[in-house]
Amino acid sequence: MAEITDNPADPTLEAPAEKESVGGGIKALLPFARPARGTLLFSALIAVGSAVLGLVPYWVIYRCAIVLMETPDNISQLMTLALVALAAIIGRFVLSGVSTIIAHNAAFEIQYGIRIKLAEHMARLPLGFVNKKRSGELKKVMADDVERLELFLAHAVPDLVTALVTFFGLLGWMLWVDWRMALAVFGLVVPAFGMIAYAMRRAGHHMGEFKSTQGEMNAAIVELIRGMPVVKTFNRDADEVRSTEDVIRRYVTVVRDYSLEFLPFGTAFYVLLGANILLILPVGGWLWSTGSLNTADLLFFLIVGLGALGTLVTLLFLFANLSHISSGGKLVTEILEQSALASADTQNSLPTDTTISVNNVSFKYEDQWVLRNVSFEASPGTLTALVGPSGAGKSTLAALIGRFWDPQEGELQLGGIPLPQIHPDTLSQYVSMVLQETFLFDTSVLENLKVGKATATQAEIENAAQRAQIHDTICALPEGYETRIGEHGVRLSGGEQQRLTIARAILADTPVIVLDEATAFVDPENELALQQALSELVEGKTVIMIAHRLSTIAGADSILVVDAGEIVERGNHASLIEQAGLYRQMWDDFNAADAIALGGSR
Amino acid sequence: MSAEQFTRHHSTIRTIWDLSGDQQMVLLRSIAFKAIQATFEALPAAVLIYIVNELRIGDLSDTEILVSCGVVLACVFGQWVAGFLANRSAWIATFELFGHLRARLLNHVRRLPMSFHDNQSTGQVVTVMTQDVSAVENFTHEPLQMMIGAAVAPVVVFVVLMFQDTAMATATVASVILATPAFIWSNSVFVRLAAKRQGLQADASSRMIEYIQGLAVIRAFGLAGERLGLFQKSMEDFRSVNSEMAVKLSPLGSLFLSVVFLGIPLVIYSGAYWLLGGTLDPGVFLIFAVLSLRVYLPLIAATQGFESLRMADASLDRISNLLANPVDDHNAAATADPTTFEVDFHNVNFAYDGQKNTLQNISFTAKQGQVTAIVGPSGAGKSTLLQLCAGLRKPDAGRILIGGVDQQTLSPNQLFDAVTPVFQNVYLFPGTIYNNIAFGREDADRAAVINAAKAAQVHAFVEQLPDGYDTKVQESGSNLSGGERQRIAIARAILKDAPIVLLDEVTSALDSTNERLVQEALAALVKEKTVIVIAHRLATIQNADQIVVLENGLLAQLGQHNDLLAETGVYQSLWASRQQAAQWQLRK
Repeated sequence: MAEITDNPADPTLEAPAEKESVGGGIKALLPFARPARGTLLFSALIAVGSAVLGLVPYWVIYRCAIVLMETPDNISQLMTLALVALAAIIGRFVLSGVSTIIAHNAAFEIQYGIRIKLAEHMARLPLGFVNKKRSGELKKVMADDVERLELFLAHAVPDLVTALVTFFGLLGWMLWVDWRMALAVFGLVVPAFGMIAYAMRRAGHHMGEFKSTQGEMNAAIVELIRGMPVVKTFNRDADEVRSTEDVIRRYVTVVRDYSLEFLPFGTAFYVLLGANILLILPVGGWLWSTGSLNTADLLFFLIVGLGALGTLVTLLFLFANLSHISSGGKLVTEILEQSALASADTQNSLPTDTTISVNNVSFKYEDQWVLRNVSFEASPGTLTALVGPSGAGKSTLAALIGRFWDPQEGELQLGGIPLPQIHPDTLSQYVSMVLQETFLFDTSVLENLKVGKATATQAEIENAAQRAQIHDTICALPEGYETRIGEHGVRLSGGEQQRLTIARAILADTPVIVLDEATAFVDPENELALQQALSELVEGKTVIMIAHRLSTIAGADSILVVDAGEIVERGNHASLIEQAGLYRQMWDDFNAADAIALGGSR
Repeated sequence: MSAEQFTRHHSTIRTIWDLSGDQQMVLLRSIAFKAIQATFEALPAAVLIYIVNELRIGDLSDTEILVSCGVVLACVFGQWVAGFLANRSAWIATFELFGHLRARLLNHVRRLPMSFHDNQSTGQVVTVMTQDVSAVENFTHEPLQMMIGAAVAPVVVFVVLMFQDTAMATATVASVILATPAFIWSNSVFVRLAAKRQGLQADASSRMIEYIQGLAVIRAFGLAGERLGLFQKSMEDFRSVNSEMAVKLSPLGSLFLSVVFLGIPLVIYSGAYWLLGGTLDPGVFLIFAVLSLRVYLPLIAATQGFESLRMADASLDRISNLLANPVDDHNAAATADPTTFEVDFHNVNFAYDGQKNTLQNISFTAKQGQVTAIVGPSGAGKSTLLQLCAGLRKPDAGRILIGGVDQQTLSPNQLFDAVTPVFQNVYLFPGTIYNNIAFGREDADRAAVINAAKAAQVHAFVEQLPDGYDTKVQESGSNLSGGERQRIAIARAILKDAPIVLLDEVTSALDSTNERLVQEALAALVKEKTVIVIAHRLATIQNADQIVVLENGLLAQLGQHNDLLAETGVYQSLWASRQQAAQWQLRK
């Protein structure tokens, strides 16, 4: 865990063009180290000590040769040297172990901090930022990119310091002993890099194709597996697998071609970096035989000089890794720098009643206006229904009331106070959202209900569950209210999940309820119970409801018909039917759809 | 534990070896070249020692320097050639091997029973096929090669040393042997902690997904960041297991490496002892002093390789598990195609693993060209019945006949030709709308595709799109509404024109217009077919030729709407609650 990684990074995995400057990479990463910079510096310092001790065995071997040459009768000196090596080796590994532990603990602490910070920040962003498309990406940043920071914080900091100290220490030491020999030691670096640069250029023309076929191959595989049920239903599995195999074959051919062109000179790079004896020997031999280098110094270079290029390789790969890590670090920073919704700092402004006013609101998502100049008012205790074709902007309007976003133009008010002036915690005490897609945590039923009210007593919880028509179902679960639900627990049907979220909202007992297609995905067998639960929830509340089943909102106090982001009709059911506009047409379609029977044989 | 661990790693490499097939010879060749490369790498060190020794005696001549330079040059050249040949064999064998493995996995997955594809294993299969295969591929092509090189080099050097002086060689290898228990110990601690960490990491990872997906709820109830106890605890647990690993493992790693490197003082000390006793030549002493490093240094690299090995292990496990799923052992076309398409259930029983019977003693006949509606409370076994009929699951007892032929004797092709299941989840390929419909029948011409599109209420909206039928279906589906996607899938089924249609009536919310269009499309699909439908719509149920009422896995009632309504039984109450639900208003 502690040791520097010497293995070369896979050259096929990184395109040289995509690498960014080392300086830029470090600059992007350093802020993450700041919270623990003292600890990390301390760990680096210990690592330096360990690195210095790591050079001692080379020196000892060199001294042994000198002893044998200059004082061959004084063998006991060798024993002293052995003890020096013993102490140095133990010291080295003790120090490197300590440094590793310190650096890792600091790194894990920082990772924890970043994850919590990301989580808090995401909750303050407009909800549109965390849409479905992006949620996978955000998870990747929070889990994988933050995870990768460990490589920088726990490894790169101490390892980089160690490698730099070792490299420059050796370089200085050698220059001090004999600058000509030092040049011989490092002389192969230039041709070695020439080799790798040439190898990459030579094989480089395959890189684009390599990346694209690899992408194609994975995409083809993913697509085939996702579509396998359909493919099998239509009896096309053998053909589809065959055509995917062709893509795989193409990928193999491309990597093969790449490797064949990269390897000759790529291999030369590694060979040369380990072969500086190739220069040390002739240069040293010549200088020695001409008398300008003494025997002891020649020995020094023969023994200590040999390993010197190893540290360079280490440095190289640390830097190469840095640019990988830093691209992840940048994504983390990018999220943290997204501007959050403005919010009131104090909980002073309390709405006086639950009137919802929407005044000339326009909302743009990306470059498209989703809502245009929408105004309405919902008085306390009334039911307002939003209806209209899919994509008309109904859900967006509901989300604005819950302040998942702020509109670009216009203003929403609750009890006369603009939403941005209400503290988020206060707002959540006034407004509950029951959404189309239920969301339950992977934990016990009880914990899930307590999300609605953390301080709820068992009696309150059971009462809410009863009103939501879910108490009996819960009691029938293997461990009652303690039963774990979700991915690792008991699976509940869609209707049962929906009723649990309603129980949660009943517990929260907010005066305003927003229902977005709350009956959408319910199996008919659960429908009646769900309907009763909803009726319990909305008793005496101010309700905004989105519905496709028009019959369910026919009794609403006010129906707003939304089309293409605008309110095109408003009124109650009877008046809208009379208007013979969009609502009337939707009502007719609704009844026509209901009347279509499959198979007309009777 | 340690022995088990040893066999485990042994079996990882063994598994890769077994998967190699015709690439085994190429891999062997690569290992042989690695050994040659290691030999060439060790030789300059021998030259070096020779020079050092000559310097010691004061006997180095210019000729010797020149010859040495020549030998070193030749060695470096040899290293290059052998290294290139080794890498070439290893890389090419790896790419070939994993290309074959991908194809083999796909063919295996293809032959797995439909019940496998139907549940949620898709995500896992995708992970195995992309990430896990790549992980093992990367391991085989780089760290494994490095480990082989790192294992071969010390052996070559050790053999050379044995020829020099047996006692000194023993001293050299002693530290490696002494360090082995520390390595095994550290390994077993690692395995124990890694299992724990893996669990906590998976937990942390799913809590992160949960957090992101639940942001709306988290926000609505004011539970951001550390205030969500579940999330906070999971992050905290992951942090502490990581720390525990660092604290417990790095001392063991240090112990192992220090014991190995203590070989240096040991060699020097014992060498000095034997020098004093006159049993050791000073030249040989120098050889050991310098070459012992060549034994120990590669071991650091080898231990690092072990970390990669452990990671590859987990991936390889998942690959093996996927391959271990039994394939569908359906007969390959043993019987003649059915010519009529009545569906007969004869005393069918079915139970999910370890559960009580989900369906018991079900018998009914769905007549050709008629609609059979399945109704019943949730959990009655409706979906299971449809899956049995589609051949996605097999009855434990009883028979299902299609046109008088036992479904079990039909090949998958024959069965799929006869049956079109239309379930709630719609899958569209990332391709054009045209291709998505044409997929329904291989030999369909454009006119047939457009006819199907018209029947499924697709044609009108497709004509409105700028690219018409060539419009690409976006993966997120954002360019098509839910109702449009459903109608495209129905068009595909209409084009396939199978005589039996199995339908799970859609309940998801569509706006009224879309809903009417989907209903019209479905009506076109089922026309003149043998239809078995899990019915939610009152109109469908009322008009069905036959209603199968399920309750607790039993066939409770069978008949037509009016007759069933007249009987006392579960149907009456089902119908009553449906009526009530249909008339519900949030506030009257």
